[in-house]
Amino acid sequence: MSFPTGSFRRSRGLRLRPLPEREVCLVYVPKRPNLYTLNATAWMILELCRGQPLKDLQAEFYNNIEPLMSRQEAADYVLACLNDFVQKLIVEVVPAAKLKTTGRRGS
Amino acid sequence: MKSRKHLELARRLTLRRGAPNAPSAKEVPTEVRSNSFVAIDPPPKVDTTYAVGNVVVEWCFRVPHGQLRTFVAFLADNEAMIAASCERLMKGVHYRGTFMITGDGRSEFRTYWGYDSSVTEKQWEAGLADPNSNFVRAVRQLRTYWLQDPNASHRHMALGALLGDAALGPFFKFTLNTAEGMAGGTPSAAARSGAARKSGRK
Amino acid sequence: MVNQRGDMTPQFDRPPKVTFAFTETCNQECRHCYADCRRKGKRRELSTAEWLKLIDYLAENGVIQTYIEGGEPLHRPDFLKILRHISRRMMTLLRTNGTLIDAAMARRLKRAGVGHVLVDLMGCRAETHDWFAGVAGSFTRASAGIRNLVEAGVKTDVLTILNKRNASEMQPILDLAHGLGAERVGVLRLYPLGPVKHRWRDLALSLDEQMVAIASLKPPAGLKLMQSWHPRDRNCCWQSATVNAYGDSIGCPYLREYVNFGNVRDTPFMEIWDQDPLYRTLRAGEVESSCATCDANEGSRGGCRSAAYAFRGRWDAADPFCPTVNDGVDLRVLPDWIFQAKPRAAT
Repeated sequence: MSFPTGSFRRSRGLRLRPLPEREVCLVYVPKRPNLYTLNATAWMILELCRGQPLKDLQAEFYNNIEPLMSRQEAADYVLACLNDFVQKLIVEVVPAAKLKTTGRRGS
Repeated sequence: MKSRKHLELARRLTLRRGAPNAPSAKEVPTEVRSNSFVAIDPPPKVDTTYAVGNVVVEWCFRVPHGQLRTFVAFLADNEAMIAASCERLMKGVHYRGTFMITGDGRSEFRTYWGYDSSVTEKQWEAGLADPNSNFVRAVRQLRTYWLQDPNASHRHMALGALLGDAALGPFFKFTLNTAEGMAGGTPSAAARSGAARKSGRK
Repeated sequence: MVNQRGDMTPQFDRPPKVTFAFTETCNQECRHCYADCRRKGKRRELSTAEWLKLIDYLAENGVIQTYIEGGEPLHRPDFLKILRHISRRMMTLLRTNGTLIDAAMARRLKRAGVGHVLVDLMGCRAETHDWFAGVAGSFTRASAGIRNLVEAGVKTDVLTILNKRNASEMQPILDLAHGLGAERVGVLRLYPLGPVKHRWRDLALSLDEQMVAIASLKPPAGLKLMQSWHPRDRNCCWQSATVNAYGDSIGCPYLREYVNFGNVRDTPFMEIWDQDPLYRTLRAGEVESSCATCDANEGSRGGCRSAAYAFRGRWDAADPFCPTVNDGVDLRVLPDWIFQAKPRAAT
């Protein structure tokens, strides 16, 4: 899946429970009730989902982990992760125009 | 602000492994075999292959100037054999080289042994079992140079990043607790204070 | 191989999940009930408002999953309201006898946001199951409940408790569960709690018999088996948090007769979690010895604390349900102290 337009934000009602002692974050998706364990990389990408389009998200992820990966490797990680998140309803893709009228959700 | 704190925490945990692992979001397998149980694996051990050893032993000694050339020739002839013998005879014990401090003219040397863990030192019993082996003769010769120096030192060091997990020993822990108490409490105690807990009192 | 004395680290600063032993009322009269449930409550259970307040408090303190059992949770008229409140904030697993789940209720549970439902089946035929349930027709209704849940799109599992009266039906129960659409079957141990203690001679199998029964099971393709015998004996206490129907914090439902760490009507749950010495001790998981294979497979040490305490009288003893560390304990024989009104092993 690719995301040429649209922005990413957490799904409505999403709940997070960081478990730093296990280096993971638990995520509850009430829309399709399920509980997931995110590893630290996936958790970081989720924390970056604040309504940016894909390219901005990829750049922000790269800035946080450079120089450990190339820009392309970082971009691939983010894309693969977002594909997975969208399938699991952890993250939703929002048209940019609609995003401006709504606030942040999830905790 | 909570999200910025969480982002920083996630970033820290991502980077502590070196190169980030591929992102994964796995369904949590909650099992019921009596009570319910959420299976959350403990984090993998930190990869410390970047380090000389998880425990490092250092021999520090001076070689008299008159013996310097002989000693350097001894190292050239024996170091590779010592290193290879360690790998064959003593699991988890690694010879990391003998280095001279250059520039000050004092002919001071440091020999480094790296251990995979604190219990690896017991492997020396196997390594030193045959007194006539090439390995033992070479180590004996190396140690003789150390013995000749009345000011020689022998130090154990543990990798700092692992000290949170490894047993510090009761007296070291006691010292840490005392120091933290002097400074006004441990970080975990502060987190448990009323300010940090969401109160449920009536 | 046996591991020597040790504990488990690290531990959780706050629990990620909590069990609600939601009610001690039930529409059945199960002979294997650990809580001696009745149709009407024995004393004042937490009210609707008290449950809702507790749920909000736990959510604010990071709890993200609940496992709800009883008695029979659906027997309380406020259950669906409370379930809806929980499922907005936390993943929910519901254990039920299934007899109150007709097609409409299954759809209501789905709409209420339940995550997973586990239905008890004590036999593969009515004669066996109904004997345990104490109510004729229970097997038919429980089986229908499973079907209704599956048809409503709810993830559904089956639970059963292995004992002398149903050991020969374990494989047929697996097959039946698979046929009804269940995803998993949990085969649970029999614990000496409640009225079960007084039927122990009639119900308890020896450890050898239990191991043979478990080893013989062949789950049909697509059905997952959950069980806690060697090499899958696990110590859960390190993450255990349970509040019973009266607000008592008891760690795990299987500790119900041995401990009471405090009541949430009087003391906030997190204060109990942080401060009760025995609760902290159990979560630290220090055991005198444990099975190295189970430890390696399960990432915990020492197996079940409730079983260790019941049969050996010590919180740090090895779990006698594992053959590696059973040391000759006969699981068909209970110690005298366990029959006291408030059972406490002599120290």
